[in-house]
Amino acid sequence: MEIVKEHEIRFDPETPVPSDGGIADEVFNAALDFYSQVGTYCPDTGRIIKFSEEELRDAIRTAPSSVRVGEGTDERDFVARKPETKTPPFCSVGGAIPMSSEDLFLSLSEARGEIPLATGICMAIPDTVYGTKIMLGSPFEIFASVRSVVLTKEGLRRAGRPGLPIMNSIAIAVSDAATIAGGIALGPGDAYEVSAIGEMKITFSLLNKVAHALNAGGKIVAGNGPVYGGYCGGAEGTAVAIAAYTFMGQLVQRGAIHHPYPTHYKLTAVNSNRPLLWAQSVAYQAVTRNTHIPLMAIPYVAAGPSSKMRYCEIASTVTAIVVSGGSLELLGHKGGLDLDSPLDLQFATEVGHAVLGMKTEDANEIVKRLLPNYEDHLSTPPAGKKYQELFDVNAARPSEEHYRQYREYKKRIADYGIPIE
Amino acid sequence: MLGHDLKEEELVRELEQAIISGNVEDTARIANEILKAELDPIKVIQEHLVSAMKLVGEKFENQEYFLADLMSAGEAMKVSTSILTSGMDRESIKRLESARSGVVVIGTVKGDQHDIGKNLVALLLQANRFDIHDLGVDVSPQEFVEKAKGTDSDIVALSALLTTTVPYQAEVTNYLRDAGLRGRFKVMVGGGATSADWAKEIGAEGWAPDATKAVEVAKQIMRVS
Repeated sequence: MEIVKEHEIRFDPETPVPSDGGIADEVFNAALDFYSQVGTYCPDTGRIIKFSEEELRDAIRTAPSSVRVGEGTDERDFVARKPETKTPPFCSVGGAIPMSSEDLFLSLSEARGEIPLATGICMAIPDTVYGTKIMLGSPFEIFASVRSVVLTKEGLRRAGRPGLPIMNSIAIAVSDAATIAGGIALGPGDAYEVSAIGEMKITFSLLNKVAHALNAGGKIVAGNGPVYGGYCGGAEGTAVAIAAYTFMGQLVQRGAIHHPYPTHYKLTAVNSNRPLLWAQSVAYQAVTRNTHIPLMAIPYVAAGPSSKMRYCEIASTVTAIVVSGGSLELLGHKGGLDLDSPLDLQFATEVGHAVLGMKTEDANEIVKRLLPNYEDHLSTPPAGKKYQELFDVNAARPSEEHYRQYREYKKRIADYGIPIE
Repeated sequence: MLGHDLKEEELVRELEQAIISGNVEDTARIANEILKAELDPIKVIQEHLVSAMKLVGEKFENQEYFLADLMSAGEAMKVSTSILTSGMDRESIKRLESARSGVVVIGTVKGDQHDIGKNLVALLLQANRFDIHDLGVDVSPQEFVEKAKGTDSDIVALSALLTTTVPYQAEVTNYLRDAGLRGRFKVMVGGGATSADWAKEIGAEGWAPDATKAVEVAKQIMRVS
């Protein structure tokens, strides 16, 4: 809070996508001050890992600006972007959505792999493995870890894109043992996600994952999920925390990609609301203006699959992220079992490409027009439909009705000024 | 006499204000002054500390206050309660205990390191006159049960964020059942990957989607307003 006051950072509800680079730079400076004072706490040692300001600046200066992921025809560089750039965002499609059966998991992976603009994939989560509920630290977590990679890879093979990189290895594996075990099924083009514990904490178990990932090629996605309303306070503090995690991501998680996914203390897994759009936009501009580190953010939406509200939330959040210099992991949703639609994800990738080169001022106006469609309903969102209700599971293809609705929503979103075809 | 009352009134208002703003140093100083002025500490706790924390809870609900504000206010309340009860006899302590909403053992289940949601619930319960025994994160079923027995708790509150740690909530209810203690404690569950259906499935008496609702559920369980 003191850092926020000291740097005179103020949330403006009328500017969910700010254009003043000066504020973004101040957020970055505040993050540098904050992280050099606070560091990262390790509960296993009871000690704080601290770095000098010089070390932090060096880490940013010497960080790589791209990382090579994927294999074969899907091998590519995940590059750093800047605000308002025409460089396309990296689009890792999928979310850690729990799936109730292996058939559904496999079909969903295939359908995700078929999204034309996808450049990476995010694994779903199996709810059970061999019919048993998965418990952290139990042998079933290890079975689930390996099985989820195998099923995801098989889905991608069926989609004709076996080399599409998995960017959240390994979603179901929370323990280090399960992550390392699942690693046997991963390819050299896949990336490990190692996420900090909120706020600014790291355990030996997570550092074990880092050690393993470094030995396996070093493609680490450094995740962090600051909670608005939690330790970092409101929108301003959340923005500073997101930017501060960039330093932790480099030096502690040893990440090649900065991966923020802020959420809300009351709405839980949601960041499409006004304060968090502002916090994300200003923080992503802070990071992408002041570093050359690739950034991949997750839009978290409240509304369930195939609902009109979800399309509005996707449009505003993806727009805010992409014009602020971010790439995309699509899509975060609290939801429940089987609540996902790859066609919704396809729409999100299309929005991400449609707003390339857009000015932040213009994006701000679009987001302001979209927000009234959903901001009063975020605590009571529509549940949406399950994958098996929206897709033909055997063919991994959307139903006619779902496709018709997607086309209709897309047309409506275009009316808000997003040049989506 | 009027001047004396005014001074007392001023002291308790200052105490309320110090708690609301989470100023631990001022809270301690004023609580000591209140003791010196020989005000009734039970009345101060039951009327003024409670009303200050109620206001803190309202500010949280209105999104004026966040976790850090709740923590500061909670710490200030703890310090003032400790000072005000320092010279109390057993009878007075009993009177205070009888006015509380209930006793809760709370923690994040085994394997799960996430504490933000759990801390919010603990602080809001505290603001609503519950006695809280917070076991932190990565808590085993045995630890929950032993603490609940040792503190004669009413409620065992279990937080879990991850789909793979949620089953450990069931481990606690199973442990209680196997130990023949299931009827002695009520169980509340919450966290990102939980649901009302899950709570029902494992036989928990309460589930809440967020911290504010968790207080309502705890009050319903304890039948207090």
